[in-house]
Amino acid sequence: MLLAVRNLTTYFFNGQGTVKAVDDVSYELEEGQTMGIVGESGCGKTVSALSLLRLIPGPSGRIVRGEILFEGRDLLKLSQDEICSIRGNRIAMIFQEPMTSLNPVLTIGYQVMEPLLVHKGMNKKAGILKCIELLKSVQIPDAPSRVGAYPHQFSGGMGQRAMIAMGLSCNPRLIIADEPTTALDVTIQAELLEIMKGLTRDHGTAMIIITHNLGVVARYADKVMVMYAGKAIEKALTPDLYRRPRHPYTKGLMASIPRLDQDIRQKLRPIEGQPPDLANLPKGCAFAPRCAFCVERCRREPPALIKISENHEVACWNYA
Amino acid sequence: MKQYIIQRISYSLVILFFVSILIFVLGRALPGDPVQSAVMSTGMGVVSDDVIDDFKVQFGLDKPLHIQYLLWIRGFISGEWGRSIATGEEVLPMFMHRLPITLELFLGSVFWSCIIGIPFGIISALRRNSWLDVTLTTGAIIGVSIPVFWEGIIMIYLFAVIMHIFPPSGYVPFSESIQGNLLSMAMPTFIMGTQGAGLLGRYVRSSLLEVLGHDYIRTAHAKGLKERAVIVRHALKPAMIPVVTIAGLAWGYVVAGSFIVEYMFAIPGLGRMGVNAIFSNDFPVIQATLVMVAINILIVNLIVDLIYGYIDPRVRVQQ
Repeated sequence: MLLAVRNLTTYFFNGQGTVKAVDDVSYELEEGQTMGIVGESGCGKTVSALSLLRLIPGPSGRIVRGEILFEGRDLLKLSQDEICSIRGNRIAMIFQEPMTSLNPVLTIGYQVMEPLLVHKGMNKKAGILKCIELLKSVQIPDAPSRVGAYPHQFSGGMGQRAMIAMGLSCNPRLIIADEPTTALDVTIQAELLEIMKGLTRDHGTAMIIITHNLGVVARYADKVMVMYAGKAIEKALTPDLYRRPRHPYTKGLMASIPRLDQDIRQKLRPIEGQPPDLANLPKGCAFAPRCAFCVERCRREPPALIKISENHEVACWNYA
Repeated sequence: MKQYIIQRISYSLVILFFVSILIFVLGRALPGDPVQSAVMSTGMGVVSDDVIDDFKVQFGLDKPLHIQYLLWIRGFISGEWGRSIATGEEVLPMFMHRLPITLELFLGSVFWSCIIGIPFGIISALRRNSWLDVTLTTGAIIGVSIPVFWEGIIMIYLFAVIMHIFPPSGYVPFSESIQGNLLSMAMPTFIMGTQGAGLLGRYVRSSLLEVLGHDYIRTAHAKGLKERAVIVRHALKPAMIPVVTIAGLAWGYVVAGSFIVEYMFAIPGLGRMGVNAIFSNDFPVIQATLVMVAINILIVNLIVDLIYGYIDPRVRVQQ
């Protein structure tokens, strides 16, 4: 077991009240496995990823409960120096907007090799050589002449390649990719995902892909966790989930994807209603107000995850 | 880069041309007659019109205005800056003699501004909304708001009259006594410096806070950099971009402040010379002083542009 997240709970405390961004989420990840976290904007998927590296912006945000066991150690119990030695080294993160996630006044080369300088004690000379190698591995053309370039001289796709190179530099055991391709052209999205998948497979790196793109998950993830309003509502191996989605929300997500094999005159079916306010959640199931299968019990008490088969869990009273 | 510098310099020259016209016209438009006051100061009492006409011819004041302007510019470029109407001294040597003193004052005040302002801004930003931040921010507002002359009087009273640490006024040349020089310049440079420091501190604070909210700071944390390294390597440089711009704009205030401070502390620099020249309507000196002020500010802004290009790769001109 590489990573075991247990009862992770991250809240934001502001003047209006408590925003329950991540509420009692648990999952596990084996070496080399890829997991997808899926959900709408604001469902807590990014916060759950940031929580792993304790990058929640303070002082309002706080991890209030839970355990994050990584290589046998609880990351939440580490000192500041210890967590710093894991960030970028054992666990790397790739963010969604390459143009704002890269420092505009530092060269690409320096930014890519910085983790090596910090964690591996490499000098700049060796760092540049390794950096060129990394840039080549993410297929940046003419890599040796690009190490001196600045982010504004890069396109979005090139910037994201550099971000991936940066993430892979120390050969981490786990990569967290937070919507790595959302800001990019569709053609480049596929290319980058292929590069990432290839490199992580070569190095046996585990990966968590956060996305709202179900297509990406279907193709690249071994298993999936669907999140809604800060909670994990369905967890399954990817083929199981796509073959038989159980939660009404997951079903809704699947139904709202446009399909080429469908009659084009048939309308897409969006999920009715709006996601709930995380500071003011309903008493029962958070999805109840939008759910077509809602029963009386759903409004009264929140459902817990129940195992319906070996690799499939769902939080819905309809399966209780 | 070379092209960028040449371009900036030629802009500056164009600006200088217009400024020179403005200075010349303003000088003539000032109320009061320089010849009259110069003649008065010789103590001859009432003099005949002949003497006054001689005076006018001697200083070229009998010619039409545009000819006077052209003669002035020609003289200025060839190093003949004319003679002071009040004292009859050559203006250029007067100038060169005082320039190092004023430069020392400027450099000293920049030193204090940076030494006080930048760390205060950084500490304030990193400990935002703490009592330390509130104290420093309030201090900065006070520093900016207190008029130079008032701060000067208080400091002279405290440190010279009561504590006898610094001389109340006067200037000791560097060549005469290093210690004496530093002691005599300590208060004037500090007073000018605190004005700049308040301004600088506030801009450093807000700019650093803005930078710390950027995504790339989160990236730096995610790489495993310690807090200190994140600030030093990733936040400070981009945070300095707006600060440098402001520093260039604020330079004008520093120069203006130097006129008051030099006068107050009896420092024989350019500011004091300029103020005396204005009192006696001595326009060869006024004009020279103002043109030098303009050149000074243009040079500083040129330096700012160059620093700007150094810090921010996005403004560097492509080869």
